Amino acid sequence: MAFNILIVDDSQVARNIVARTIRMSGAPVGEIHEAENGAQALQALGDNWIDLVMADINMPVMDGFAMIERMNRDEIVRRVPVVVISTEGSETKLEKLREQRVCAIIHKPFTAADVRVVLINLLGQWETSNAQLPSNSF
Amino acid sequence: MRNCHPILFETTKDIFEKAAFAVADPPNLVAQTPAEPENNVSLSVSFTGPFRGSLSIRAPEQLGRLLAANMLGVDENDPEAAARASDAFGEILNMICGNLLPAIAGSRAEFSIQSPAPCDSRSLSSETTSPNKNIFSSRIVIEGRLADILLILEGADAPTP
Repeated sequence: MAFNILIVDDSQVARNIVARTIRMSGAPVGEIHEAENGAQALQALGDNWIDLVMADINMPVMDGFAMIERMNRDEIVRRVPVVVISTEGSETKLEKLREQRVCAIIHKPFTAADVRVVLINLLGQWETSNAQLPSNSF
Repeated sequence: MRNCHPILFETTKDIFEKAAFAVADPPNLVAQTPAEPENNVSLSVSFTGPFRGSLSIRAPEQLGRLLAANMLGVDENDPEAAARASDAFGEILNMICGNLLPAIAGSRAEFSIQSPAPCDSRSLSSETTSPNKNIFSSRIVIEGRLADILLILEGADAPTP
């Protein structure tokens, strides 16, 4: 089974790096979609089948917090796991993300191994779990 | 609050090396300090929180291409590297700022960081003489090219030099 992933970041360079590390990880990836901000991400979630969202927090137009809050209000979209990839270093904000049911947090700068570990944990659980979303991995 | 000068340099060096695979050294450790470049670009990111301020970088235009090439895994002469040079600079600056602020203010402090934007290097120079701002600057040699990092802080709780 191949998983479709949505990458959300206002930097094209950052999106390219995440996409590259996803492909390097060996995870069974189908389509990789991209969005520049939370608003575009919500549109992409409505238009495509997405199995995993990997998103930055600090973005113009709609930031990661607002995007995740909107996702959690939708009956279907709220089931899509979210991994945050961000420079955000405030423990206070990171705790808020975990309360919002973010599955994992990867801190920038990250390594390919950082992404691989998260994908293995999530997609492995995704394969064996019938309906439950993985709880906080980090 | 911690001493900002060494934190500024070490965070900058760390990010260039880890995120862009670029060797970064203080000028005094380089055999021959590079000459002041003519074609500089300047980028700045502003933030608010327990104190407000901005973090800016001024560096040769060619460095942006190198950073983009390293980050994207393409050759430095690849058109993609030139096209993404500014974006690469901005992402590096973003990472430096995101890692710098908790190191200065503590992990519980909450900041709101804006998107990086181009700025006029002359206005950066004038900022360093402003009486109401706390200025921390660092010079660093990245892959043989000279870059300047400028941290400007304002507010009652801002660290002082």
